[in-house]
Amino acid sequence: MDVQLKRGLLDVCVLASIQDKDSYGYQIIKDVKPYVEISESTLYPILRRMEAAQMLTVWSAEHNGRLRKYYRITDAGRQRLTDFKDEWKEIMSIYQFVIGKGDHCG
Amino acid sequence: MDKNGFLTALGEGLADISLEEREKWLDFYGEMIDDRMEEGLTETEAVEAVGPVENVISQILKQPEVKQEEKTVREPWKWALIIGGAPLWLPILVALAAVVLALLACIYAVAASFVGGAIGGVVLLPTYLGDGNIPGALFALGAVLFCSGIAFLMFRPVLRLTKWLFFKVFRRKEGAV
Repeated sequence: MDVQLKRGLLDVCVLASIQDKDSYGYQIIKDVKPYVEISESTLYPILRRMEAAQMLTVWSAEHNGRLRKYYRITDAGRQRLTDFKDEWKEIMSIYQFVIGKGDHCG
Repeated sequence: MDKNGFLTALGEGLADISLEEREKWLDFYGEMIDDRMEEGLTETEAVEAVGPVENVISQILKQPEVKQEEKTVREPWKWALIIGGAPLWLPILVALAAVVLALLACIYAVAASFVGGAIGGVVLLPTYLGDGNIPGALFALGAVLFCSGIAFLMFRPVLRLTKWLFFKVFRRKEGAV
């Protein structure tokens, strides 16, 4: 997949994985992996960036004798997801355009 | 590799980024390894699942958000130490060079003196013979044989040494040719 496209999509994937309930790093990777390849080194900058953009908040809780970081979506984060769903309609029509043109040439 | 080994290696690979950032990355990866161990993986398996540390390091450094510290920030320290320490290492360096030069000079001096001895013997021999000085003549003959023998023995090694020195000193000229 195109790198730029993937980066944009990973953001919303991460947000989607925490939209219903708070989650933590490894769980987010497990949730997103079936849909798009993601590793720790890509996830962490995304989490940091979205925290800076205030689309999610971070909190720590003790878990089995160690500290685990949890991520919670914010209203701004939910708004981003809504925007994505709206954008998708546009993307679908562009997709139709691209494959439509392809048929004429092929 | 165990978790500590992985995190140490990761920390070393990330030496160029700021301490604060590095600590955050190490915390994050430590957590990822712990989470996997909770799922039932052994420490070794968890570390393996996270990936070979070299890959992790290059992946992290590729992230556009990761800023590497300007290398020039560290250079001034190095130069300050080198210049500051000059009173210590400079005299030692000079002394070492002097010793080496002295050794070389000795070798040539010794070779030259044996050659001189041989020549001296050759010059003296007819004089002693002419004087009827048999012990003197024998001494001169002995000197000629002894000195020239050693001189011949030293000839090849000294020649090689001289050639080697020339190459070392004038190597750039050789390269240019």
